[in-house]
Amino acid sequence: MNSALSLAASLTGVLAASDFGTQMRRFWSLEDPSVRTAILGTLLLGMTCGLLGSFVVLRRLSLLGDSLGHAVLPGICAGFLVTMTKDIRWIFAGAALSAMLAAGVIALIQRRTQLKQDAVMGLVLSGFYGLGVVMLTRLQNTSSGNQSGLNRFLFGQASAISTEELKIMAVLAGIVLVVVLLAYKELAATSFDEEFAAACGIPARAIHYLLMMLVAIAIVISIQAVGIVLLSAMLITPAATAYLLTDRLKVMILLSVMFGAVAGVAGANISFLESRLPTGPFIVAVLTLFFVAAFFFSPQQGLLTRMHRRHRRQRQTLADQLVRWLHAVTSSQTQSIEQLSQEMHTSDSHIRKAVNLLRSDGLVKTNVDGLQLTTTGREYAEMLDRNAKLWELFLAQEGTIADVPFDPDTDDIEQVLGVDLKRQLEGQLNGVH
Amino acid sequence: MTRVESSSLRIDIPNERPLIPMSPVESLIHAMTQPRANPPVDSDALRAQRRASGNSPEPEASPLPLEVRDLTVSYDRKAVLWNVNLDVAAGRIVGIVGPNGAGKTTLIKAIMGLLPRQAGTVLINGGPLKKQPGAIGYVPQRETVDWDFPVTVYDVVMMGTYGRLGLFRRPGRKERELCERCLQQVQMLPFANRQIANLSGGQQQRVFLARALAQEAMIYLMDEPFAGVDAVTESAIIDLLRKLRDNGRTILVIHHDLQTAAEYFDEILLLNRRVVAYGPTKEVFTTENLRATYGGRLTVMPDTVGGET
Repeated sequence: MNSALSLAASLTGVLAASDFGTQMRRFWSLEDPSVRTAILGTLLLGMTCGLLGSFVVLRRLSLLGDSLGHAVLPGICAGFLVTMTKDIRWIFAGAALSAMLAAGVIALIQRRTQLKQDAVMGLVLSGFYGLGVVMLTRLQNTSSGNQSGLNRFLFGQASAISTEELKIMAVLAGIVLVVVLLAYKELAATSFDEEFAAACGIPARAIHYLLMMLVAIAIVISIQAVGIVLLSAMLITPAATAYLLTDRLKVMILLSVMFGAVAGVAGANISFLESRLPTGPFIVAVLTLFFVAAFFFSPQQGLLTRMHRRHRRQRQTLADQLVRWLHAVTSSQTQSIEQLSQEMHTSDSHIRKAVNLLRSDGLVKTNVDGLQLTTTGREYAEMLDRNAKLWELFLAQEGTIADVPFDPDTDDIEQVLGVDLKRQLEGQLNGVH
Repeated sequence: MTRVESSSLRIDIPNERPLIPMSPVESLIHAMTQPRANPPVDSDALRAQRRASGNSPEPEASPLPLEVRDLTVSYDRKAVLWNVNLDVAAGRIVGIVGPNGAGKTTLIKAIMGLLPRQAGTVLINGGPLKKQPGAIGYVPQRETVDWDFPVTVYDVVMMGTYGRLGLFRRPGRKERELCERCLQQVQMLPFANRQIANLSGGQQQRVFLARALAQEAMIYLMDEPFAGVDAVTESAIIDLLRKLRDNGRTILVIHHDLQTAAEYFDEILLLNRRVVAYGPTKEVFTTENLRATYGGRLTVMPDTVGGET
């Protein structure tokens, strides 16, 4: 009864508008030094993970990020055991060593057995994480371990970042940034075509291990605020979101860094509103929201964008057919919608939509009896007819004229074939007549 | 001629191969007993030979671009290539022809050091490749990369310059100009800013060629550059290869189409786990040699094949 009351009280406390407002103001005024530390910390980790995540995703190493993320737990516990306090330097060192050890073990098993990558990674992930949980449970039963708050490393707590930790994080993030800037060319080349890069004399294997080390560093930076369990999302989600939005590597990296940074700060903000809430899940929730938005609305690959584009193209195709039919059959006569829908074997509503499109383009005019092509409409129909003939001519000779990419976005012949080829075909077409 | 080798001494003894046709069994025995299936045809090769064996008194003219000595490559315990010996002179287009699983790709990867060698040596311009980064230009099979990768045609071609640039150095104006020239040579300059997925198969192949051109190498190794390309691209590629050859480049091309092989290549290397024959096309591209290469798998002989059918 008592606990139910206090729960209700704390809930209203969180939801009370005034309290929420004060906390928001406190967070965004940036006056509180611990707020500044949390913001800077999550910014750093979000950007570092976004930067490396692009390479991780493009190299199909997403599962490796997950494995290394989970593999740091025994290292954290071992780091704690050294001093029996939460001395962040030992914990960072333990985490980094543990991640690199895991990367080494993965490479070793892969080379010495026939096991495939996914099995090896699953094996190492669960092995290291299981060991870590055992160590963590033992530690929490000791008196000093009980006070340590090692639990926070599971789901992260941005507000727990201290100034000293922030300094270490900044140095590590700086190292990652400098190395990526220096080795960008090598990272990009080996990510795209590792074998070719190796044939050029780029030490592809060394670059791979370099990236693994950088990922280990990024993981170390992130364990405070994001936690171990959801760490892989920091590496995968911003980069995957950016991948949907662009087909340029540099743009992808910039977007990924941006998503990581925004989500990091948003997570820190939420975690500040109610100090008992872990930060990691919120950061990941924000990132996932970005991904969902990109999945639906990405200008090239978005589900809804594509659907919209398909509908528009369907309407346009029907409209073009309508114009050609009107031109061929009844150049100057008036046709009713009903007649048209019968002729074209299409429903009235579809025809109406196509007609609206044509009318807004000034290609047909309508009156009480139905519709009729305008002069522009007739010209447009003639152009469509000519293009159709060009297509036919082109397809009949395909392979002997030139090599043309299939472009799913357009059937504008000039855009596909290029002006020169179109002219060449037109010459042929005129020659035939 | 052929040679009997010992560790420090080579004795040249005469041998009629490959001018006199052999039965498949004979040729198999021959291939098994002969350490070198291809007799060197010019004096350059002989000189390189003597130098390689360490008892050459005279200083060299210019070393051969590519020498392969007793190359054996295996995956795990299974040998894929046995005792491959090869001397390729400058300014040749060499076709590598053989059935599936003959080790053609393995051979060119082993030459580039991408696969560990079980035994044997590869000399590039008379020395190891490791000391000459960028000496070999490479056109891999098209399917080996992810064409959805977020790069443009231009970016891919630029990667050809990375080997010469060396670690951590950025491409500059010189590299950008080179890139544009290479794109121009394969008529892909108008597509420079396209993402590479939005290209036809032939265009993707030309991007790979431009990338190899940007390597500015003396030796080119190409893995089926003619596979799955349209007729226009095919003739554009062969024109380009001939231009490279006329500029003194050495080009090794893995090829599947026996109909065009005789027309395209100056020399042919018939390969099936071992070198069946290597030499000028009209000497090597014979029915007997092809039978020895393909075993019973070759049912239709191309009409371009020399020798009696």
